[in-house]
Amino acid sequence: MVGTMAPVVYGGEGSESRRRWLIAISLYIVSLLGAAIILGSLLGMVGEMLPLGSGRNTWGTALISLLSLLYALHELRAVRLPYPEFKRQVQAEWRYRFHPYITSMLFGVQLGLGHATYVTVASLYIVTVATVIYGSPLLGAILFGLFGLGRAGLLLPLAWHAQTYHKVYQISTSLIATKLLVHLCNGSVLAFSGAYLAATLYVKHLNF
Amino acid sequence: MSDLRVEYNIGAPTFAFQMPSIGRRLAWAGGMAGLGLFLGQFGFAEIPVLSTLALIAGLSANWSG
Repeated sequence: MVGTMAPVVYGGEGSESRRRWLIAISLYIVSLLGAAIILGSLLGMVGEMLPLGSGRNTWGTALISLLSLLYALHELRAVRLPYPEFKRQVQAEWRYRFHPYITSMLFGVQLGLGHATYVTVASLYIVTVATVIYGSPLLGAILFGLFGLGRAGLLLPLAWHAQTYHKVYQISTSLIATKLLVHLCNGSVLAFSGAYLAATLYVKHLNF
Repeated sequence: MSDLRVEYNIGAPTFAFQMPSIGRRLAWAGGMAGLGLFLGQFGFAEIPVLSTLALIAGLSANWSG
């Protein structure tokens, strides 16, 4: 995405190019955050309507904890678990079909939905399941808002430095080269989260 | 640092991270799980942990493609 949203993609050099890029990336960020927050709210509403019973916080936390621990092993490449995803990236042809600002917004919406393209890490599954199980539109909006913030926020400094095609190439190759480190980080955080949730479940609900 | 090695492509030096051995990965995950168990026993809310997970999922999504 760095290569797509970098200033160099928006033609030429100088302040005019930078101004167009700033508008495009602003539209991208707003669209991405909006789509993520709406999706989170909708998932929370769906969860709210599901007949999960009064014990949803108890068994729900247990399920989220278990899934976190299992997918920690998946992220650490110790086991292979089901990984449902659309095996596609954003529609590149939109760049030629629409105005750059419209394309930025469409890319933002598509990536803000999280599951509409490749799912990079399993942590997104845990966040999605937690949003549905806890059944709170507000919580869903917060969780997916944070997801969107992370997704859009990192692109800003990365793309800012992508002033030349060589820089774009350097940044892109560095991201690819450190992808395993990202999985290792996610595996660690998932292991932490799973164990943390199991402990809180025990203290709050099972330890009479 | 031992897990980092420097590769030189055409004019673009990059770092290629190599995954540690399965034993080291599991030991690391076990340590993180232990830390989670320790902090979880104080009965704090679940939301901050899920929020952190959501933020990390978003940051990590930049590594796609």
